[in-house]
Amino acid sequence: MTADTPPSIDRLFDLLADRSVGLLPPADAAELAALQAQWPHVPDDAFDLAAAAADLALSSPAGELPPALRSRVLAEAPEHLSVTRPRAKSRPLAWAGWAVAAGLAAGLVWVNVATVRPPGPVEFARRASAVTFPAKTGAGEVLWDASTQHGFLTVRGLPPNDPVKERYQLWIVDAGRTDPAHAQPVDGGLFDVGSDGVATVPVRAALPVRQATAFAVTREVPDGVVVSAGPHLAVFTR
Amino acid sequence: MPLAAAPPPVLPRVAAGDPAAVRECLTRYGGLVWGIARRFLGNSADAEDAVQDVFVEVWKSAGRFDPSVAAETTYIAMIARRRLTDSRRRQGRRPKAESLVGEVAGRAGPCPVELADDAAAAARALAELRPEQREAVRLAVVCGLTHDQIAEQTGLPLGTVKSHVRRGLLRVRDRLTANGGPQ
Repeated sequence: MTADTPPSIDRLFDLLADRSVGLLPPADAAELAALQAQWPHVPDDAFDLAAAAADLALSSPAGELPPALRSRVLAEAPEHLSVTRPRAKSRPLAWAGWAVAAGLAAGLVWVNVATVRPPGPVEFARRASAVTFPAKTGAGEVLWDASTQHGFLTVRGLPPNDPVKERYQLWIVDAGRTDPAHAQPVDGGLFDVGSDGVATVPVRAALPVRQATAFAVTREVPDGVVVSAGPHLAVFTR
Repeated sequence: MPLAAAPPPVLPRVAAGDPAAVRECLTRYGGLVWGIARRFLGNSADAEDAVQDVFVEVWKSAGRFDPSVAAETTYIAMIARRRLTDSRRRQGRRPKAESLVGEVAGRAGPCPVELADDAAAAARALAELRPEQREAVRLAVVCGLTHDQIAEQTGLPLGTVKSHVRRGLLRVRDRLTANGGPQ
């Protein structure tokens, strides 16, 4: 423990360091999740990147990938590339439960999950105009900057998805969209969660968001939906 | 000697679905992932399956790569290590200390100039550690030994081993942060 940091963040660093070398006991996983919720601005992958950099610094130079293996990897690559896909047709389902959960008579605006994200979430979080929406359901947070209409979602604890079968979709509740004609759900941006159960993805509203009051994540068919029936796997509100 | 400029990252092009970028990514990093996989899993058959899994994860995660946070090499090595750690856990096995410690040659000297920025920063941080602390980090990170195995290998108390590994990685993390990496 260092003299100028609180004990809990030192414990968080210890557990992240243990996990980065595959030595986190299962019994400590819940404690790690709780500490991460307490310190949401500590990147989940900070120690994983440190371990990877140490590995590169300490280990022997790499060999060559066998040509037959290279061919197999190349052959199956196209089905896994996470390129934004066209949206499916609208389904006439309501989002009443969602709006109630947010406590708002709100419309939904789909957000585009971009594939490139300058600046990074840490830099983004330093902006004075960035507002944090902590998780009400699930774990993680959304950073949203209304002035630039950009943000970052970090969500933890979601099951890994197989993009061929299903994908996660992120939504913004906009209390400023009071016109009933535009209050209907629109298609949503898509993202995937890997084996670590964590996703950090940039969000950008495809339509102007006047007053973001909540964000939520649903799981949908691979091409996404225009209107979701839920359920809301994670909800972020202020 | 001046350092050669790092090539532009290829993952943003992979994320955009560029087939040429996929091939380029494999050319650049296939050997790296293959080397880590063989070291983690010990035999080529398991390593071949694991390499395919790692690259599936790389294709799916390409859009999350942020060059302001990590070098591309470090990001891909991180994905590989995570995936391979999962594979090793599922298989319920760890390398035997005596079989790996001697086989895995560590870099003994100072950081070579060809290392990526992150690895060079990590090497500088590791060079500042006491020898027994650096060895504990190497045995955990490179050889994949457990705390108990490291304690047995080095003769250090278990608590000291845990502290050495944690503090060593914290030092690397701090150096990467100072280098503009993870906060």
